[in-house]
Amino acid sequence: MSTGFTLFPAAKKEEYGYGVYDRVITNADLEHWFNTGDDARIPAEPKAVGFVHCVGSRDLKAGNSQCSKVCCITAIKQAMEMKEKFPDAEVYCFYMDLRLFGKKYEDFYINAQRDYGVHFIRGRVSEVSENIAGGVQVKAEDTLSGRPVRVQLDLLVLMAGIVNNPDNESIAGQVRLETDSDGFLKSRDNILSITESPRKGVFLAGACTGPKTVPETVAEARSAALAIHSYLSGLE
Amino acid sequence: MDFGFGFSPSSAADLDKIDLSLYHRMEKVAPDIRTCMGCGSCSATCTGAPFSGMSLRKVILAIQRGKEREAREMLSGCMLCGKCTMVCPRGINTRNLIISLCRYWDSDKREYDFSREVEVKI
Repeated sequence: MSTGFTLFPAAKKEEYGYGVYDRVITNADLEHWFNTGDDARIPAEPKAVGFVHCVGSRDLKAGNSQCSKVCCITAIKQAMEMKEKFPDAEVYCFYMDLRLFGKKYEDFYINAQRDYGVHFIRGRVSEVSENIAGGVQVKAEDTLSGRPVRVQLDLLVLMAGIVNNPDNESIAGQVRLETDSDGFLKSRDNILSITESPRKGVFLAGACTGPKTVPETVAEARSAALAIHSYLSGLE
Repeated sequence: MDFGFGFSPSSAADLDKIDLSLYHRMEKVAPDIRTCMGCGSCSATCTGAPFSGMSLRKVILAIQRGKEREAREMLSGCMLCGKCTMVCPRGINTRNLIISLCRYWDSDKREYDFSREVEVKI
């Protein structure tokens, strides 16, 4: 089983205005624009760009308690890319925590600060509204200084998080598997047998069991393939 | 007429309107100022902090938010002992940063002769 994940529908967080304001896009939209250059919402010469971390992740109210794992590093990567495209633009990242666990991720963070001058503001964006100029005004609390901050942006990127595939429930039902409390498929053991399901002969790989990075997904796919080989060869 | 309440100015930092000239100047002479992640090691180890309210983390943040006066007042509690340089996990040369700040503020009055400072015998 490798049913993957879906992205959190950012429009559900109404306070961020995705689908309402022109200048609010998601991480997937921005990545699509990097690849194709095709998105009318992105202005030609933005002066200020903002990234909102944890959109729909670590959010019990949105029904997702899990950390989406990849958005921190994705936001930093995209922030640096925006800085490369628009060197004169100010880029702000609004974060709750920066979880840069992977190899070289912390180096990316330092690079973004030191070489690209990306501004990191610790505080969750509370409210986004449209301004007269057609951009958006973002309000947040700078929790490190304990003061509210306000900034006008030409583009706001929402880092929509990884959530479970909504089809998991029905697919799991067909092969008599269980979904976990977070909606992802349940492994036999979260530490020692992630790629094995509780049912013999059914194997799991990738983001169907939780948010994963690409290296993790590849490693799990290999591990699952090997486990299946062992199973079919009767080595278990 | 007294309504029993009054207006107080907003404490919000408006990032579009703040004056970042000091921050931009520091980016040139002490580029480390960009890499602070606000962990607070400097303030935790600071000799002066418990007595003067000095916190280098807050000084850096104040400069990043354009609150120069606040930074200057706070930094007056610094005794340049250098412990913050030793503990900073990002390896920020805090001493250089503080000296650069002092030099910047001092240059309002006169050209700061840094070489003279070094020769002072303790």
